[in-house]
Amino acid sequence: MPPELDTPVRAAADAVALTGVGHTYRAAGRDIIALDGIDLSVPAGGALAIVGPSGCGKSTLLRMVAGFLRPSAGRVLVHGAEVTAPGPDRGVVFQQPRLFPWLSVRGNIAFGLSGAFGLRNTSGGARASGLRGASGLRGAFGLGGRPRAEREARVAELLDLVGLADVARLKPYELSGGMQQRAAIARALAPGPRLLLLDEPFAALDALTRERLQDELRALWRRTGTTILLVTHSVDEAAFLGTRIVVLSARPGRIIHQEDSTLPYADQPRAEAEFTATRTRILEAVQAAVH
Amino acid sequence: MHDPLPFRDRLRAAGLRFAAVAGAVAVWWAVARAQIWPPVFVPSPGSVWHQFLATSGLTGDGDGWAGYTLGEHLLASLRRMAIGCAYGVGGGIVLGLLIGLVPVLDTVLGPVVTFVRTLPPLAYLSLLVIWFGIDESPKVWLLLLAALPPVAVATADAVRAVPADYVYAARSLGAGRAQIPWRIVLPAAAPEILTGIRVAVGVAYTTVVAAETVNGVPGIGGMIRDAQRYNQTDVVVLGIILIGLSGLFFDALLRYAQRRLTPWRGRA
Ligand SMILES: Nc1ncnc2c1ncn2[C@@H]1O[C@H](COP(=O)(O)OP(=O)(O)O)[C@@H](O)[C@H]1O
Ligand SMILES: [Mg+2]
Repeated sequence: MPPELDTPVRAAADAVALTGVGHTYRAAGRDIIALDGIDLSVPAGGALAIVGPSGCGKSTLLRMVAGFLRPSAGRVLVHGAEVTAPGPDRGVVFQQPRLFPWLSVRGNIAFGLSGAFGLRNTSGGARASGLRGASGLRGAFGLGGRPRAEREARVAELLDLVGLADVARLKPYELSGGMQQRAAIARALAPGPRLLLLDEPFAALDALTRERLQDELRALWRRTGTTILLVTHSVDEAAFLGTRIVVLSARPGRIIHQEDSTLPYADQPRAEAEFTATRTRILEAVQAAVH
Repeated sequence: MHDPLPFRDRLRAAGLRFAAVAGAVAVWWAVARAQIWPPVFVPSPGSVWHQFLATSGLTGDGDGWAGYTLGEHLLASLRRMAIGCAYGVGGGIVLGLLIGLVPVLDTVLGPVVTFVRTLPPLAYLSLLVIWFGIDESPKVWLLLLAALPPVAVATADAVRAVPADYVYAARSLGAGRAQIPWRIVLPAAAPEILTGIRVAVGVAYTTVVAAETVNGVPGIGGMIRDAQRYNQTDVVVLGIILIGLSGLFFDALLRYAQRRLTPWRGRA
């Protein structure tokens, strides 16, 4: 076997790549430049944390990667392909959980598995995310096997993953905020996305719940290998979860600080000495951004 | 929407309502009894009750009114309303979805719907009679035209208010564009659509008597009109009470359906 094939080609490939990306909103006949000249990449399996003052264009950036919004300038590539529309290869978690209230928790999680699409994608996605047990499912049922059983097993697996098996039958509005956000994460993971986009997912939660969900998200990321793009205004969250941390300036958002970190791979990132140092550096950058 | 009341509170509310009705009937009885106005203006509760028994065939001395029993009149009206409302609600939902989802249609059809909505039904009844004759079709058309606009307007408004993030979330979960109206927009708009349906049924109720002014027997409206011609005020009052009571019943039914079908209303 030639030695160059041993180098992990996939790991080196960028899951997300933005080049010269800008976005301008037109509101009431006025141009609002939200983002300007963003060059950014996330390696596959990495976790990018984007920090910045509110209104600096963080959500705009995430929405362009999700395919909700077209960039006014530059290119947005996801796994090498230009983004033109939303798709099940990119799961999205919003600040408000945005669960469908007419469906149960189970129904919400199963939403991305329904129809012919869900079938195709469960196996493909499971392979990409490497969710534990999914490969076993694929082996047991095969692609054209028992779609319904496969779907149900996948929902059960996701419910377990986020610890919501007991409340699967409840409606979203019957859950606490933290549980709702867990369900939203499970829903986003259902189609087996290779990239998970989270827009200030824990901002509306109390401090204790927030920290617990940060732990869970990190565990999930380490277990599944899903690439993460996390928008946050919490410096702590960025230091805890980001293998790459980017700080944006106030509007128009430009990258004013960027660093790579290995903290999310540590056993107890918050206990590391480096955690405090990283926090301090990011905080200084954010404070510089504000004025 | 508030939670269902505990049993004791519900009992109290029921008692209160019963007392109010009993009080109203007592006042009515006293006024009729005092003979301030002749019975042709204010018939007594007793004579209305008597007409109820007679026209419904519950006592032997009556054979209905205008050749039909009270039940047959009521059923004929309800049947017309059911058909008119079914078409009106179905058409209203489809029209509202189109108006809410396609901006061009909003521009074109929005004013038309508002125009029809502001017309009093009697204004176009004559036109419908000319077009469709005097049988069932003009009545059903009138009810349809009365029921459709409230549903269309409620649906269109609700569709426009569906949070964009619901649509984005669904698209990110693999739903195609063509699936969005059915899987997201319609269920998300369902609470307001159901409110629109309640309004539509109410409008159909206020319209049915008008619809039955031309060749409306059997039908409660036809019965009322016929009784008016013979100065049978007790039958007129009986018809009014019956329409009101059945209206209350169907609104309660729809409110119940709304609670069951869209329990998240005001909570999500
Ligand atoms: N639909 C819109 N129309 C006009 N301006 C917008 C719109 N969305 C966002 N903006 C503006 O663009 C800037 C960036 O917004 P956003 O990306 O939501 O910021 P962040 O998520 O960092 O708080 C803000 O100043 C905001 O007011
Ligand atoms: Mg934002």
